[in-house]
Amino acid sequence: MPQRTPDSEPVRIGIDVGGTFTDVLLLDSTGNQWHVKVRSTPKDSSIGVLEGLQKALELAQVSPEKVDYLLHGTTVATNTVLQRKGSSISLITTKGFEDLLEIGRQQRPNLYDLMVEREPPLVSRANVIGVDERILADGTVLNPLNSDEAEKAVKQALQNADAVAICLLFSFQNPIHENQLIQEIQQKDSSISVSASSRVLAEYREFERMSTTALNAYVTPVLTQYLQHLDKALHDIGITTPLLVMQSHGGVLQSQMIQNHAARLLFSGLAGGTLGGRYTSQMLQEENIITFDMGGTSTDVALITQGVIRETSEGNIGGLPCRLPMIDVETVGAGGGSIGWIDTGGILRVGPQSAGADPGPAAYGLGGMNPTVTDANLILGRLDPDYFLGGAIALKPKLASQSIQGIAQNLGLSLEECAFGIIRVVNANMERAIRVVSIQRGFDPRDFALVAFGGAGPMHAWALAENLGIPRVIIPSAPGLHSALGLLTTNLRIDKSQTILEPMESPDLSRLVSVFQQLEQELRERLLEQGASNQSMIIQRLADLRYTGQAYEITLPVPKGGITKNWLTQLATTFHDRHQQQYGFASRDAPVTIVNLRVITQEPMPVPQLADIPEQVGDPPIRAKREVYFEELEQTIDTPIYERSSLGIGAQIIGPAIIEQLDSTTVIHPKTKASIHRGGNIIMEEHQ
Amino acid sequence: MKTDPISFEVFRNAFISVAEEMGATLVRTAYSPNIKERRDCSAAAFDAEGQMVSQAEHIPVHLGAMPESVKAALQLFPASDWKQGDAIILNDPFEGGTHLPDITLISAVVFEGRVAGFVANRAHHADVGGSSPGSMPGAATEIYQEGVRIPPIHLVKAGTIDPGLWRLLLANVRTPIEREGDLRAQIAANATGVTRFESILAKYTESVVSTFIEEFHEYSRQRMLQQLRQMPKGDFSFSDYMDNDGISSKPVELKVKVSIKGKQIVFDFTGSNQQTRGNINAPLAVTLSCSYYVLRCVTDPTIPVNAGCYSPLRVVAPEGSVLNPYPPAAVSAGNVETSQRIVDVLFGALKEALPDRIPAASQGTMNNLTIGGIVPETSQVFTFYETIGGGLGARPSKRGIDGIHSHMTNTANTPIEALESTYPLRVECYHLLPESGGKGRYRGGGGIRRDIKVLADHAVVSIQSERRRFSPWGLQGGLPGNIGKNRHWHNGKWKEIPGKVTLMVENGDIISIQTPGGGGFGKATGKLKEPQ
Repeated sequence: MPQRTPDSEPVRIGIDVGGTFTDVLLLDSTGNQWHVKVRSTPKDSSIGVLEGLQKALELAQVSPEKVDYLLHGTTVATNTVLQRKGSSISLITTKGFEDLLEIGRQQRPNLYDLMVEREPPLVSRANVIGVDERILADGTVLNPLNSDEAEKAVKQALQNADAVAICLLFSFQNPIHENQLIQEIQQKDSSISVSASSRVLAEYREFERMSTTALNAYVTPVLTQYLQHLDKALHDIGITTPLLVMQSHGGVLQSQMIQNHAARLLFSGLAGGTLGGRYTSQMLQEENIITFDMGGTSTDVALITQGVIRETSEGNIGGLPCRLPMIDVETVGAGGGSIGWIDTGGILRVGPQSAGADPGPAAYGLGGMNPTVTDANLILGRLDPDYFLGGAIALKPKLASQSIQGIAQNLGLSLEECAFGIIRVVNANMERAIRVVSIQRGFDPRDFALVAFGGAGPMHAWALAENLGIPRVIIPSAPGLHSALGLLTTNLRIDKSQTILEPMESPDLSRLVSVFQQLEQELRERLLEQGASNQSMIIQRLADLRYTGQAYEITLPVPKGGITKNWLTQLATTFHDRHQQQYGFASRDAPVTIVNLRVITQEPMPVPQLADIPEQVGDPPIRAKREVYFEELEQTIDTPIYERSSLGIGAQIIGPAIIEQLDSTTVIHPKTKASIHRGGNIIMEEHQ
Repeated sequence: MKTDPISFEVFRNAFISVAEEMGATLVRTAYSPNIKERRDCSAAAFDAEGQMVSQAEHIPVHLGAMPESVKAALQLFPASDWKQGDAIILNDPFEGGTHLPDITLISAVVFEGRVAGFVANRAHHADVGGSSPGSMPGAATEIYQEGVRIPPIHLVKAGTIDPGLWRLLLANVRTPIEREGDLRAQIAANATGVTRFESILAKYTESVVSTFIEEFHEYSRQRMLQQLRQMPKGDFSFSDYMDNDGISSKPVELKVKVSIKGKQIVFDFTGSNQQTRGNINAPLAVTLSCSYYVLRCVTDPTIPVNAGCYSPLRVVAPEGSVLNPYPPAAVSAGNVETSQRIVDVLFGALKEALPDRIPAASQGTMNNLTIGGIVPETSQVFTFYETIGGGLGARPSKRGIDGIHSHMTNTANTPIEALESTYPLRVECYHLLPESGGKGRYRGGGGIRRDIKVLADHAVVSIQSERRRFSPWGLQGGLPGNIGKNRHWHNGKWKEIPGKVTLMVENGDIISIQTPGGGGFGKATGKLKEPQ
């Protein structure tokens, strides 16, 4: 544990709430780190947050007012939707279109299930109110909303609702009627939360905009309450810096500012890991990486190409679309808790059912009877029963054997063969997922390095990389706390978009100029309120373009300089080039539509500098030896075990070997070399 | 089994991966929204004998079509004749195709000088020529009116595209640039599949892989047989009617006898209507797709889809009937409308055998709507095509779903804000018709009402819809769902128009489509079981 000195203040803290654990990472200004892992408290996650925070402060002997940055990744919004525990909301929409949320895109979620169900909308039909009004595609008002109608609708909307959503057709072109309704609501009840689609997401496609708006209304009261409660508790323990909350796209905002934009936090919990992956890749100057975050119930995979985290606005939460920007993360239903089972054809399968954290794998001894991936790793000697999560949970090998024995007998396999089978199958599932994720985005996994973290990632990474043809695997210094570290590498950020649907050939240039200016002005003001300064603020202008007639867009940074004919030509060229690269073709003569304009404003925060680990002197010490199974050898072998904290820069370990640390275990296969690099990162490569 | 139960699962994943990666490449590199957005496409891998090993499909109507296409190609070009880099193209409904817009491309996987397998993908092209844009003319009576007919023929030989054939194809379609883009995407998708297939062969050797494939077929077959054993043995018959063929007003009967035996299930469509003059004829591949769909729904849908999975099923569709027509029958609506009725009769027959699993009839149509004309401001030609969801039939323990696509299709709607920004059309209303579902202990799902105002002069509207005369049936005392209704607002009044119709409309006219409701399930006894 590093010693803190008075000049190492102020400190910054990242708090990442996961399904099982809440991770806290405290970093002082000289780059020393303190880690704390506490159990998450799903009923009120602020309990775990405060407990972890206080433990970290005690451990590092820092007084609360010395905390300079406090960053928080939260799953409160996510779980509110997944568990359907949000507010009762009402929705005002254009008359004749009250069923849009219910109809969705007319698709059923499963083709062959006769008992299929559609995800029920967040608003019950009785709480949807149609108003007589109509705006056209160009923003002209065909049918004005009269005030009696507005008043009547608002009166009805305020009955039995904690929050109101408003989404009228073409409001992204002309918000006049939505604004009228907002005013009417505020006159009647100034305290109620209102989410209007023209403010939540001023983009076309009514169902997706309505769904995003309804999500925002649904989670806002819950999230506001959570953040207010947490702010107060932080204040009570003496924290003076404002709480910064992670948004789905990987930028943070102050907790008070976020409260009316709760939908921007729906994927908050996924961002930290990818940010951590980027931080590691920058440190090692890797341009293209796949982040592989394998936890207890699921695995999150994201692509970073040329150092840039890929974003998407095609998010989906519990079957409901959310079109706000988010990090492009794909979640696979495979993790340490995934259960092995035999199908009716006698084949070994793993997942998607998971033992989760409770009861967890059989080896936890909490009543779980099903054999899981963690049980298999224990049987194969890859996990030390007394050193799992630094000894926080004592694993019981006997229970793991019993659970696996059950299926091993039915398959006619030995205990070890079956345990290894579970590992092979879960790796095959993850391999397939990573292949499709890469190919869908136009990339070949062989051109990437794999950055593996999460508690289970470093155990599976090499075998997986080998199957995928990935040449290099990187294990960051604290794999189990990597998401918390990622939180510390972010910026303050707000963005906004506006659909314009202008033809590239003859756009209204003045409209482009004014939309960009309006977006920029609004965002600039809001970021200044957060303590940003005009000097350091970074403003990016982007545009979503597509070939006319298509329905998918490519988001591009726009050229610098004034918006002129020349500017348009440059933008078009960039679009064609990118289309060629991403989709394999470009139609340079085809008409192009500028669909949306976007502005991203960011206030950079200082990049954390981690204190580096010392150089390796002499051979790395072997802490212990134990029998570990390796498929390449088709047997167990007495394998050296190393302690991660005893390895210095330049250390090299030739597999087979195991490296253990508090938060994770790294498996080094035979014919593989692990070397320790800057920042304590392990790089694994083939060894001849 | 020679393959151990773990390697088996690894192989299974690897072969699903071949199909998935091909599908992902196709969707990613395709030009037209039909493939990219609506995902009207599929991909599959086959063994050296042309038996399907794995498939990634996005809509069920492609299920049976892929194996039929490969079978047709191999009949003309035996496996031993294929060279590395060869690809066969086809769309002929009488030689492995479904309807002309669905084009299939098949490539050989050659390993160590021998054909070790095939990969194939199929995509719905937005236009393949013929008498009207979109290549699904309502009034067609011969396939020649529906577009360019491609029998199995080499598009690519040893890696080189046949330039003559390429020009011939593109000269016969309305949007050659788009077609070229989509065809190139199909070629790229197969290349992805071939590479992946080869890498599996290289890693595990051909003999290990071919043993696995054999056992994989057997595995699916055994799981299917397990399912069949749980069904009561016997013969079960049912018949239902299509409203008409769009040319004459006569109803068209579809008939089936389902025989469940110990190790076989037979769907015998003998007695179904002779092939019709109108375009509702379903080529054999469509009839097979529907049969496979129903079999998967009533058994375990997680059984891997391959040749073994379908081998216990025998389908009898008499030649010359509406379910296996002779050329040159017009077939374009067979795929989109008759397919839904084939599913209805199969479920109708199975309702006695599986009373606690079979749902009441769903809307039984896709409500195909095409509006074409000239944009007033730009004088450009536009064609808009969409399908509209309806009621899902009630299930034995729960109600049907409102306003959703059922059975053989699952394509997305067009957002109103996209539609009005692109076409001279305005959506007047788009909502559910909750009362249109059949009453019962569990109510059928409601249909949809969608009214579109035409803002162009002299536009042509074409509708291909069904269940405008014979309603979707209920089950076990549940009442039938409402029939659909098509109306035309002209000169200040509504006029009902036929289910299959092509008409000229004026600026300001409205086309109103009310889609059918699903049938109810069980007798209504006072209070309804579920909240309505």
